[in-house]
Amino acid sequence: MRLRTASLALITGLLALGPAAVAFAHGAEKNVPAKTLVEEAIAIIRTQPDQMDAIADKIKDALDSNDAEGVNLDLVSQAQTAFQGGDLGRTELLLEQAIGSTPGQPVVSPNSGPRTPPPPTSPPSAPAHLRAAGSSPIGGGEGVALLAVAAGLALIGLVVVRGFR
Amino acid sequence: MSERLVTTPAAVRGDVVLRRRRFLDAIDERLGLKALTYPVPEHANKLAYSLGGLSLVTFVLMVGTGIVLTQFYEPDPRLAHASVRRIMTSVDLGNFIRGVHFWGAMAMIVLVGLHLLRVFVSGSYKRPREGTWVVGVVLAGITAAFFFTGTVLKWDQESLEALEHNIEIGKLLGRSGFWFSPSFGSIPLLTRLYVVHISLLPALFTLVVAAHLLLVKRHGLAPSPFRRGPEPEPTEPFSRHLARLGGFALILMAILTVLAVLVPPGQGPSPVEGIEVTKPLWPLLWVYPIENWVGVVGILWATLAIFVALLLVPALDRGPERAPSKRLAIIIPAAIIVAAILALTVYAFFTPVASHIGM
Repeated sequence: MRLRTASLALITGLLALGPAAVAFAHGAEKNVPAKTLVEEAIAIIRTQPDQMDAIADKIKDALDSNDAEGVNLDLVSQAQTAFQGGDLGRTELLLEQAIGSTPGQPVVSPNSGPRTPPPPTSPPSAPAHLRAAGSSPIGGGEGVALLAVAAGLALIGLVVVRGFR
Repeated sequence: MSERLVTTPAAVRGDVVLRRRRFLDAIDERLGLKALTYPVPEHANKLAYSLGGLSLVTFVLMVGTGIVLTQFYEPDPRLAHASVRRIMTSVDLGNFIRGVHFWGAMAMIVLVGLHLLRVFVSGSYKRPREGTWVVGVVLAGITAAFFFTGTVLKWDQESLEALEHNIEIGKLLGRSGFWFSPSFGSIPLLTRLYVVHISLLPALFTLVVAAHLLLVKRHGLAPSPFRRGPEPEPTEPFSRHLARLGGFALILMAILTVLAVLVPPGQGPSPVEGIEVTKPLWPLLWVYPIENWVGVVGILWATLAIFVALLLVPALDRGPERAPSKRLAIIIPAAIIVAAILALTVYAFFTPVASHIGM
């Protein structure tokens, strides 16, 4: 009987505290500067564009933030509309403009705001360096010439290795 | 007819041979090249016993390609990402040179790792070569430092996260970790890491590798534990080993060239502070799950534990036996550690990205 009462109390307590914890966590987001949240949204768009919920949360949190210093909230609001319309490229551009960053350039302003847990992601399909930009093979005459040089090096190497066995 | 007019082809050939010998003797008199013909055991010519030499060749290749890259790289946090992108897109052969540098770094990690493993399995660290092993482990540590600093220099999201981990580990070290603090010095930490990557580490590597080579020369190559029969192993001149090493080096350069052309390394997105959305490159991936379980401190302890264990190997295995089958007491634990590192790497690859700093 005591066990049942204790279990009931525990479950009731958890049910009571759960929403409170969520509310507390959400409240904490309001204290994160909007600029940090916009930067995080940009980073997620650039690195994990499939994380739509996380991007939406960051934009919403930026709009709700108590500290909007250095951020043009009108542009963030436009970015939210663009995002809801499915235009990720325009969303990123507007977010960059909202914090005064040059589009496509590094977001260099450091921040010391609290970190937020990243969204859970699925395993990457390829190593980071292959998923990054500019990893297409060197083509054209340059590529062919370099491959020919490689073939020559390999041939000479094999001859030397066999000759000095 | 004069004597000069009746010269036969054989005499001409003899004259050429004589002149060439004189020329080589003159060179040798000044440079002492014949000193390279000292005898080494026959097994030195195998690929497994050329891994250390190939690591050194790769280091030289890294210095060469690195010198080219430094002409175009901007070690400033505001400019570094764009300068790497410019190297890839606007510099003649820039993408290729960077590709050789990237794949060369990967090759160096693999070659140094395999060299350590070969020396360990063949028991080549045993008396009187303990010092050679310890200096070799220090070289492996310098190679790891090269790799880490190089990872940061490309200055994308993954680089920044690596640097932030570095800063956190510096904090864990207390006062002794002051150098890793962004507030130390008056130039950015990225710039300081760049200086370390292009000057301090190469100088250190050169000095330590010189000590390593001197010790190898002093003690000679350890006898092979896999040789059977009582008769002594035949020897060959070291110059022959060098020539074969040169052949292996050419094949390695061909492989790196093909990789740089067909699979050039890209660059991740420009860095943003305050988030963790990437994982490290594969040589550092094995610490990722450990960091998931115990936090950033796990990186420090796991890495230290590996290096301390490596340094202690000669003290832990002091018997005269070199054959692996007679050294199971150390071979089995080492095999378990290597298997665990491989398993952690594979596990980390499939693990979701997690946030560690400031959590």
